Amino acid sequence: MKDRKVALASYVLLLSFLLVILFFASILVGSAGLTIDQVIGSIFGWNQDQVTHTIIFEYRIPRVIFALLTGCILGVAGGVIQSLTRNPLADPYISGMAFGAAVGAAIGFTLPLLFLFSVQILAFVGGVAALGLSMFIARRAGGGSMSFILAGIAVGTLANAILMIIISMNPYQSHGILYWLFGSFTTSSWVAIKTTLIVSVPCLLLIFWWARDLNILILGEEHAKQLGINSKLLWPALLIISSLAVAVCVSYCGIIGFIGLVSPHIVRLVVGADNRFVLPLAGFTGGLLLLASDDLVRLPLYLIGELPVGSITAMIGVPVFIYLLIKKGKNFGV
Amino acid sequence: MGSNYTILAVAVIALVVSVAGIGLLLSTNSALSALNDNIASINANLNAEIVKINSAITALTVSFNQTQDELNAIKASYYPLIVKDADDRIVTFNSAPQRIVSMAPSITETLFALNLSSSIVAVDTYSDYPPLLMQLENSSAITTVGGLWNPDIEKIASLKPDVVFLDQGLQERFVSTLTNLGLNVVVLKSRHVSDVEDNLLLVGKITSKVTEAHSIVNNIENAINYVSGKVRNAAPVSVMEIAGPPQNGLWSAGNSTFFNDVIQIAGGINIFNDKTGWYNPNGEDVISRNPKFIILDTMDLTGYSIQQVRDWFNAQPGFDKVHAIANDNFYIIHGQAANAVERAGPRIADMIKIYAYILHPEIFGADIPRDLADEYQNYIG
Repeated sequence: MKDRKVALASYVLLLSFLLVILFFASILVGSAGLTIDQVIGSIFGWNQDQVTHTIIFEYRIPRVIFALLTGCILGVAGGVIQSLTRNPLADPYISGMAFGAAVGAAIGFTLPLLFLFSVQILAFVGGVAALGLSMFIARRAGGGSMSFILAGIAVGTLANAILMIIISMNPYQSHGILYWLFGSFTTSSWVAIKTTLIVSVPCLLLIFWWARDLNILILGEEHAKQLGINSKLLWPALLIISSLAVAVCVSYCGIIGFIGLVSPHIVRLVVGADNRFVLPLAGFTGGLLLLASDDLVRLPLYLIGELPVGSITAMIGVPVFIYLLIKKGKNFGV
Repeated sequence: MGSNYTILAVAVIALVVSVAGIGLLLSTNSALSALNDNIASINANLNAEIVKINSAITALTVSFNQTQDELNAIKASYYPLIVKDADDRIVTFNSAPQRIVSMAPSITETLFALNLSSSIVAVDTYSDYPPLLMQLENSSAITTVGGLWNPDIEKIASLKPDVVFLDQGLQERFVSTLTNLGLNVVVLKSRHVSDVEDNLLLVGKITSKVTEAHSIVNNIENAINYVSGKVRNAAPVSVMEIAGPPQNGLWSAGNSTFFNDVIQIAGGINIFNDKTGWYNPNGEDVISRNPKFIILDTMDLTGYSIQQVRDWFNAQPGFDKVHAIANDNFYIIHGQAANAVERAGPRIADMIKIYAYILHPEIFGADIPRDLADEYQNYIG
C-alpha cells in the first residue's frame, strides 16, 4: 500500500512537471513564427503588440487549454466505458460510437440552419445511439469482449456507410466534414472552452463521485445488488453522462481516437485498478497526451500545414491496442 | 346681216383654233416620238448593263463555289487530326466531333463560347451557364451526365459521344474507364490562367473553331494587358482568397491555383502564396499575415446567409483588427459572379477585371459592392 502511495505521488508530480513544460512549449509553437521573446513579453506584459497579444491569448492559450480539457474528458470517459463494459479494449472507435457521433455531426453540418448547437446535439445523439446499439448487440451475442468488438465493427461500418452517403450528397461540405472527422484544435476558442466546461464539469464530478460504485459494478451485478447499488440506474447514467461530456468537446475538435483507450491503461500500470484514482489520473494523463499530440501536429506546419491530430493519437494508440490484444487478449476472452 | 359677221367671226376663230390645235398636236407628236426614241435608247443601255451584271454575278457564283470547294477540300484535309491533351495523351480525330460531352462547367462555358452549342449532347449537373444552355436542357437537346465527382459513366457511354472533355483536377481518374469504353477522351487543365487559354486553343483546334478560339484568347490577353498595364506602378495589396462559407472550414487559395495568378495580374499579393494548392489556415495565420483584402468566393452558400458568413468572421477573436475587416475590404462573391470567378473558363477575362476593380479602386474608380452576385456584369463594362 505504501509503495502504491509513493507511485501515485511521484506519478502526479511527474505529470505536473510535464504539464508546466508542455504548457509553455505549446504556446511557443505556431504558424505566425513568433520568437520566445515576443511570446514571453506578451504574457508578462512588456510586449504591447496587439497582434502578438491576440495570437497568444485568443488562439494559442485557448488551444492548449482546450486540448488539455478534451484529453482529460476522453481519458476519464475511456476509463468509465472500459469499466462499465468490463472490457479493456473499449474505445469510442472500437465501439462504433465515434462513427455514430460523426453521422450526427455530419447531418448537423449539412443542415446548418437546423437549430442552435445542432452539430453538438446530433453528435451526442448519434454517439449514444451507436454505443447503445453495439452494446445491445454484444449482450444478445453473449456479452463477451469478442462480441462487443464485433458488434462495434458492425455498427461502425454501418455508420460509416451512412456517413459516406451524406458526404457524397453534399460535395460542398465534404471538406468540412472530413476535417472534422480527422480531428483538429484549429478552431479552439474561449467559447468552446466555456461551453465544454459548463457541460463537462458536472459530468466529471458525478463520475468521480460514483467512482467507488463503479469499482463495485465491475465485480458484477450480483455484487452490486448486495452492496445496495442500483446497477440498472447507475449503468445507463454513467454511460450517458460520459458520452455527453465527450460529445460536447468532440463536436468542436472532431473525432479523436485512442486517448480514451490508452490513458486509463497507463494509469492502471502505475496505481492499479481503483477507479477513484484511475479516473482522475486518466483525465490528467489524457490531457497531457493530447496536448503533446497536438504539438507534434503543429511541428511540420511550415512544410505542409497542420496534420490531423487524430492521426497522431492513432499512431500512439494503435500499438498500445495491439499490445493489449496480444499480451492480454486471452484474459478477456477475445 | 350682223349675224353673218358673227358667224364668220366664229368660223374664223374656229378655223384659227383648229389650225392652232392641229399645229399643237403635230408638234406634241414629234416631241413624243423624240421621247420614245430616247426611252428606247435608255432601255437598250439598261439591258446591256443587266446583261453585264448578270454575267458578273454568274462569274462570282462560280468563283464562290470554287472557294467553297477549296474550303471543303481544306476541311477534308484538316482531319484526321492528331492532338496532345493536358495529360500529354495522344488523341486522334477523324472528323469534326458532332457529339460532345462536357464534364465540368468551365469546359461547358468554353464550348459555348466557341459556338458549339449544337454539337453538345451532354454536360455535368453543375453546368448552368450560359442561359442558352438552360434552354437547351429544358428542351432536352442537351442532357446531364452526373456531378463533377461522380459522373454517370454508363450514361456517357450510351450517348456515343465523339469526344468527352474532362477536367484534370476533378476527373482524371475516369480517363482509363472512359477510354476502355472506346471513347475519345480529352483532358483539360485548370491550374493557371494560361491553362484556360491552352484549353480554348486545344478545343478550338479539335472542333475546327480555330479563329473563334484565337479571338477569345485575344479577349483574355487584352483584359490581362489592360489590367496589368494600369496596375503596373501601383503598390501590390495583400489578399486572402477564401472558397466557400467558413462554417465548412476555412479554405484559402495557395500557389498553383489560378486564383493566385489572377490576384497577381490584378495587382495583389496572395498572402498564402507560400502554400501549395488549397490551404486550411488557422486564426493565427490570418491575424499575423493581416490581409488588406479578403475575397470569399462561393458557388453555393450551403444554407448560410451572407450575414452569417460575415458574422463568423466578426466573431473570430482579433479579426476585427485585420485590415480587410476593419476597413470594409471584405468582399463576398456568390451566384453567377462566383461562377465567373471560380471556373477556369472564358469568363476569366471578367474575373480579372472584377479582381482588379476590387483591389485598386483608386486606379479604376470602380465601386464593387461588398456582396456581388448575378449582376456582376453591370460593374465591368
